[in-house]
Amino acid sequence: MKTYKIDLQQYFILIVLFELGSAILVGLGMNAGRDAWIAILFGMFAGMILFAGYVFLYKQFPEMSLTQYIQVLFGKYVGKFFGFCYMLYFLYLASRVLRDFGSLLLSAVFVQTPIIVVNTLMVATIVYVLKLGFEVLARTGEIFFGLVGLVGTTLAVLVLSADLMEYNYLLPIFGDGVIPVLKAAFPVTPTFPFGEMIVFTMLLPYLKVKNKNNALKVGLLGMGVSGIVLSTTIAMDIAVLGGHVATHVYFPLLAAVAKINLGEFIQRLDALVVFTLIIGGFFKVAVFLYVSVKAAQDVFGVKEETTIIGPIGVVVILSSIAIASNYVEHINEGLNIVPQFIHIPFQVVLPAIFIIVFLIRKKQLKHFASSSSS
Amino acid sequence: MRNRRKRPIIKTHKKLSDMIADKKSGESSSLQTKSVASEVQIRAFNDKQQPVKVGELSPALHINVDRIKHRLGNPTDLIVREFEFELEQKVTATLIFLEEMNDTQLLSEFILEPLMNLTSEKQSSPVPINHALHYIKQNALALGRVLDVETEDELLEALLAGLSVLLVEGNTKGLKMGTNGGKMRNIEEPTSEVVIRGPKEAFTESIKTNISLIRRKLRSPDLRIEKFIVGDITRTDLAIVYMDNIVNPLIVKEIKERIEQVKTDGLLETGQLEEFIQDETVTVFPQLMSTERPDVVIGNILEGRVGIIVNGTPFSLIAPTQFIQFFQSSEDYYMRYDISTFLRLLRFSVFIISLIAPSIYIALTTFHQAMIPTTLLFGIAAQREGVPFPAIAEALVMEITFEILREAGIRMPRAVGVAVSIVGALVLGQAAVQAGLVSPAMVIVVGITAVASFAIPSFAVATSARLLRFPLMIISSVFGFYGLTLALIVIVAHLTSLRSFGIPYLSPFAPIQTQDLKDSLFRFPVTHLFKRPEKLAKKNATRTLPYEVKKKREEETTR
Repeated sequence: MKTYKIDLQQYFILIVLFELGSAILVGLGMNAGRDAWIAILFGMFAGMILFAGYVFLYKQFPEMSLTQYIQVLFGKYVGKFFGFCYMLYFLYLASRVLRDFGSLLLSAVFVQTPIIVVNTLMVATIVYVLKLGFEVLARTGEIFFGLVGLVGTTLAVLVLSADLMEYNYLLPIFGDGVIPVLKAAFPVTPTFPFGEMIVFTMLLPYLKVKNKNNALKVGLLGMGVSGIVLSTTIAMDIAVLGGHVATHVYFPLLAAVAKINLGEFIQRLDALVVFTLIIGGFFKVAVFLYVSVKAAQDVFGVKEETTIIGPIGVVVILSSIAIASNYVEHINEGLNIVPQFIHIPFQVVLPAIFIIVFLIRKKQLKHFASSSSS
Repeated sequence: MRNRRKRPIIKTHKKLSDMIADKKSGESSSLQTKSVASEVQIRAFNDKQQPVKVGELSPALHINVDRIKHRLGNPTDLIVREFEFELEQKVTATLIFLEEMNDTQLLSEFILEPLMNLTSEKQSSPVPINHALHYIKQNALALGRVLDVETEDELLEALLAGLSVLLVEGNTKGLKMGTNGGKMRNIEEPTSEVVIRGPKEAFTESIKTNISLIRRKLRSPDLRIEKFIVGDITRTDLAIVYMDNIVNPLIVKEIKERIEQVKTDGLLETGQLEEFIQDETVTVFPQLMSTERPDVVIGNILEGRVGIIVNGTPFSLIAPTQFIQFFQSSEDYYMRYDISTFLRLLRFSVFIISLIAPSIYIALTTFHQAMIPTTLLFGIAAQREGVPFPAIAEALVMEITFEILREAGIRMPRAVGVAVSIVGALVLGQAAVQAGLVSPAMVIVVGITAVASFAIPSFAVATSARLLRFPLMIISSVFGFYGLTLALIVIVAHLTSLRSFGIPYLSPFAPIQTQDLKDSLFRFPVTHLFKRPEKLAKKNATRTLPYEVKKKREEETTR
């Protein structure tokens, strides 16, 4: 079967959908209080630096994914061990995001439904789409990108026209100085969602060869767009709800949109937001799931990726329930444990080691790298 | 070999003509035995020569005639007209045709009359009998389409295709002549694709008429029409039409290959062909567009698509097809662009409505009551108070009732149709509400869905919405908008995975093709539609000269 290549447009859209997927939902950088939106911008720049590192590795091995070139860098066994770790990491992330969405749906709509049912439905859809191929995921993204954009713009216009925003809530900027903002921004905000761009180290080889040189530019553009959207959204949440409320609500966006009430007719639009978020969540979980499948394929030497999509989907469903016993625990883990002990090693430390090892072994690998890029 | 055969054949002819005279007086029931006997005799004559090969035409006239009669089972509409004409000497000839498929006036005026009036005086030099066929083809037959027939199978095929065949004693060839006639439906107005503005002619069942309808409007030397014969028994004529200087040759090659691979006994309608040549079988979406309008076919040919015409049906196919084409009507290009764009958007929304309107009602009333404005919510709640069923049951009952009525309405004779609509109005209307079976809001939803499904210009894609509606209703009754959203993702993913002859089904939306978007859900003014669809027409992509260029040229010429 011919492997499918995505073009720059699809690459850009995947990045934006992926970045916004779940990040737009939770209160990001809320430790910084009303300056959360600035913390996000800081996080975005840090994330961009990380991404530049990932693209550097990709350019050295343009036709290989992360789990393939670490086997070149470290040899088969150590490489496979690292690959296995990354597979677990991606699986964990898939489960986390799935849990986020399951919880959101339970709290917003299906109060009495068990979470496993909601999650299973989502994973079943993802497995179906992924079995049709990565190409189909990329193209479906193109269709829904337009739709999500339309809904997002409508909501923004409605919030503006409903005169809900109180700009004073955002003032004073840097009221407590820059330090608390930086403290809030690091290390949490760069790692989620911008550091999660690590998954694109697995997907960059799908880029069309002629677009290789634009990988960094378009990637940064995608991150920039999603960073600005995120920052604006959070700023809007704070302006509508006030800094104090916004930091203490689980889903600030839902709370803000729920306030829209135009002429007693256009109201309770949070269901519309949920609809948009389902699409974002779908793409985020789908990308994580697909990346874990690719990693597993490299580590275990599976020939056809379609054979393991289903089983890995089941693993994700089960682990999404097993990772936390309730939502408070889940969020607490996500804010306090995961960034320091999971995100940073996998997003920063290990890639840095890979780059160092590459630079040391450059001469040895020269022959290999030149043959693979030709 | 021919030279050697010459003389004995003439001898044979002389003796045989006597025997034929005998046979004429004989009863037709004794035909079989006599033909066997004469076959033996001709063997005797030919013994020294080469025996007549099976399937080839024999120089002896009556042997051929007998064989044909035998193979066709001597049907009543087979006319065998024997006559003589004069060259060097009297020559016997036979005109064979199937009565109802030929124009008898043509036959008598342009074949029998000139031949029977032939006299030896007109000829400058004597014509030997084995050149008779060639001679009369050149001098006597006042018809355009006259071709040689060499084998018996070819002869039969010509007869069955409605041609007439002329055999001349002593010749191992025959002539088939295009005297097709018989009753055909006239060119009428299209019934399934009615437009207010635009040509009012539709294809008919005859492939010849259909090709002529296309040729008349598309006078380009680059128009290619290639014929195929499909169906082992029906031997149906099939033609593909395309513009050689526009179309992507790979697509034509693919279409030809797929048509050639069709092995079946009969082909009666393009719908059957569609199932044979489509890319994906397990789908509810039509992958080829069918139309009965010549202008639609021509418009698509100009975009670089290929038209497939099948004899015996007024519906021709267009390949490759994109999903968006089902929401376009030929009229869009004849009306102003603003109203066309509006109508296209309307049709697309109508498709969405007919797909998910009942599901949204179910999801709203079952899960998301909070989304309904409060006053309306009270109204709906009050209506539903007396209804014992959940929304899904209500919706399913009403939708299925509607489907039944619709099917009944289509198949009913017109006289009974009135009764069906009266009863239908009762079942789907006030009576059902008063009986407490359904709520009035549900009646409105079903009504809107029904009207919406009729507003989609293409019947084929309306069918997909009709089929998908039921699973969507069920999933939204279980999971509300969440289920509905996921189901829509599945549908969109399925659509993006489809391809029609290698062209993505959802293009120009996924993958996005910016140029082609101008003529998709929107129709830009014609002066802005410079390019043909990107993936279809690689050779000759420019369609309209940009307006500025034209203007500039005009200015230059006027100066």
